[in-house]
Amino acid sequence: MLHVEHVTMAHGGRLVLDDVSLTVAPSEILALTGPSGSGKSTLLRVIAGLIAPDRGTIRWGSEDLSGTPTHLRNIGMVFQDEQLFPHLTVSRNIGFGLRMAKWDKRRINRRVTELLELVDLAGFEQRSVATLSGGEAKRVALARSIAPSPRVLLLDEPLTGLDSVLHDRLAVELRRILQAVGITAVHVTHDAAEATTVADRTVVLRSGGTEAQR
Amino acid sequence: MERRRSLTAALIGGLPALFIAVFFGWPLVTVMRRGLTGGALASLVTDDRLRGVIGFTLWQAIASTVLTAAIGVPGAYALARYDVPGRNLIAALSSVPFVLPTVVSGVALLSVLPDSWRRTVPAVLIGHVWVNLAVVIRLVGAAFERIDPTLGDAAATLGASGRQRFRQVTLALAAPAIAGASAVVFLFCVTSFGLALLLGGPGRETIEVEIWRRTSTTLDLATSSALALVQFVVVAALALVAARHERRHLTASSSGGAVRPFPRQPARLWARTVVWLIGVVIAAPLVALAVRSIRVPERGWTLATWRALDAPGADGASALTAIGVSAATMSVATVIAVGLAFGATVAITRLSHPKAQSTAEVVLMLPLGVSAVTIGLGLILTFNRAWYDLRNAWIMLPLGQALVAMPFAVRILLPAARAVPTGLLDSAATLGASPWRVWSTVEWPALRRACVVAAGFAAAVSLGEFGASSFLSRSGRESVPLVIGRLLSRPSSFNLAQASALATVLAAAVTVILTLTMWRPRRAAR
Repeated sequence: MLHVEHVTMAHGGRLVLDDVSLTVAPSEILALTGPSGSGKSTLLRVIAGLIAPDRGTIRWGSEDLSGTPTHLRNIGMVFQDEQLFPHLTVSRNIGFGLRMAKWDKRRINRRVTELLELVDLAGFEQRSVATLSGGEAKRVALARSIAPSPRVLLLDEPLTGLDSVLHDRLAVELRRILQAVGITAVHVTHDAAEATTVADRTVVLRSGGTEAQR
Repeated sequence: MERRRSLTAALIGGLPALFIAVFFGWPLVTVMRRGLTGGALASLVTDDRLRGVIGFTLWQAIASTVLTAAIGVPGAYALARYDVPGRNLIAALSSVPFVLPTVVSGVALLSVLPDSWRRTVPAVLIGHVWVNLAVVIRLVGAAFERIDPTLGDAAATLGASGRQRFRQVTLALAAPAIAGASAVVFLFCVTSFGLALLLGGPGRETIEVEIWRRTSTTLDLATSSALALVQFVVVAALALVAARHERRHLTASSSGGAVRPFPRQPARLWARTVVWLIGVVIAAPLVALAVRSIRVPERGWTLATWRALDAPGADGASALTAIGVSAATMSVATVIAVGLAFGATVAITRLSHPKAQSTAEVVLMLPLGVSAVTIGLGLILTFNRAWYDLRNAWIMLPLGQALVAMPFAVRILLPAARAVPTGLLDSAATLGASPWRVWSTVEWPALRRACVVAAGFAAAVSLGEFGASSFLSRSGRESVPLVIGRLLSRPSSFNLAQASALATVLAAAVTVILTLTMWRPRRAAR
């Protein structure tokens, strides 16, 4: 169970997050929507530990994560522009987190193959990430962040920049993949329709505060 | 029309081609032939002294490269990522040694190093680091600046600690740039002449120094040629490997997209320390140079060194004469270099075949791949007979310097000429403009500024040129760098002070020329 409690954060003299609290149940897919500038991405970065809030805490069950650095939080994140490592192949990108976790080589290879099948990219192991299409890059980014089995997966507008047909197809597929893995997820999007397709529940962030929906 | 164009190109391009063939190609072939005949090549393996020279050249180049990278890479990282106070000034300052003439760098370093360090291996290494730091800071810094910090965030969410993020992402992504910069530094250090000559000494000769020593003192031209040949092969091989490596890497990771400026983090203590240390290390010899010229240890503060500039030197010529020689040589060399580069540029852009264009460009760049010392040696080896015995002609000095400077001028002019859209030329022609009108109203205005910059660059190269000049000048008519070299070969504190005064003049002249020609006047909006 992920708890966000009273998170408050100002940036450049503006209150970006004003006393935001929310809870995500295990294996729940929560969509976080709101107009641009409502602090959706900032909240994800706070949960991931990439930035520290001015006030408030992030908890996993009873464990306070406030003092835990990002790399020890076991919280995965899919970035808006994928952020694939350009110097590594597809399989080395997906295996990155597993190497950090000191898995042995054979197990890593098995896991990478399994994930490539899950995201429908079987056989892409040795491809250079520079040769991937937009949709393929997004699938690889998803597989990479799922690979180390994080307890929470944060998705920061993971489907932006795709044409509408591909976008709609990937949204459905994203839900299938997240459900297949049974992962707890927070999906940030500015698109209400995408939120309904992907998530179990939607929360709207508005001028800093939250507002539940459905 | 098309045929007439090619004819013009052949006429305008013929002169630079002929110049390259006669004053570069022929001498190079002469050096190679001389090196390959008469067992000189074999003596490089059998002669202990020559083996020592080759060995020292290689190991000092490796050591210099490693040291330069060891200081330059952290410096580049600190400058790229942290908001260190004074970073812009220090980044600019770090390029100064690279554009200064070698002899000026040599004198500056001698002014700051303790006397007991003169003519030692550490002095040579420090000199190479000081001059080449700019290469690493520029090339590697640009690579660090291109890396999106969000990649580090992505790695962190995948469980990478700070150290792992740095090694597996940041350093791994900058690695090709580090390798490329190191290869460039290594090439500069392998072909080091001026610094090795001024800062090293007996037993610490590089191949270049040995070529010069054998040519000027023992007239052992066969061995000199063999050494030049070996060096040429080493340099060419390394350049080929580097070029191939670069091409392969460029295709592998050009997925970056547009470069956006990333915000710098507040400076950490280590970053501040590294950047400021580099600032002090770069600045100290420059300050010491100016101070040394007005302070002689036994006499205290004095302007005697400056007054002595017009006193006759040991072999009759005063330092002031040298300034005159340098100015005249520079003018002639600049006219030759820019004139030929200009003709070559106009001709290349008129070649219809892209392959012919790139071949011509490579040929023009060739003198860059050959050390200045080899160019000088080739010229005196070739023009030594019968009616074309030009060894004592004054034109040899500006000719050699023009050869060294011309590739730079082409590098500046060619992109400017290519930037003129061909559509513009064609539309001017369809509007009824004669080829000459098209040229004078469309092409020339676009090239004018590049010509000024190229001339400034050629003048600066010519003023500081030391390698080729060492072979080509006549005694009594030496250029400033040669007089400085001669003063330092008989070190006394007064000679060092006088060398400092001359080096200060030279540094000031180069700075003024480069600033004036690169300065772009801001046009008022009308």
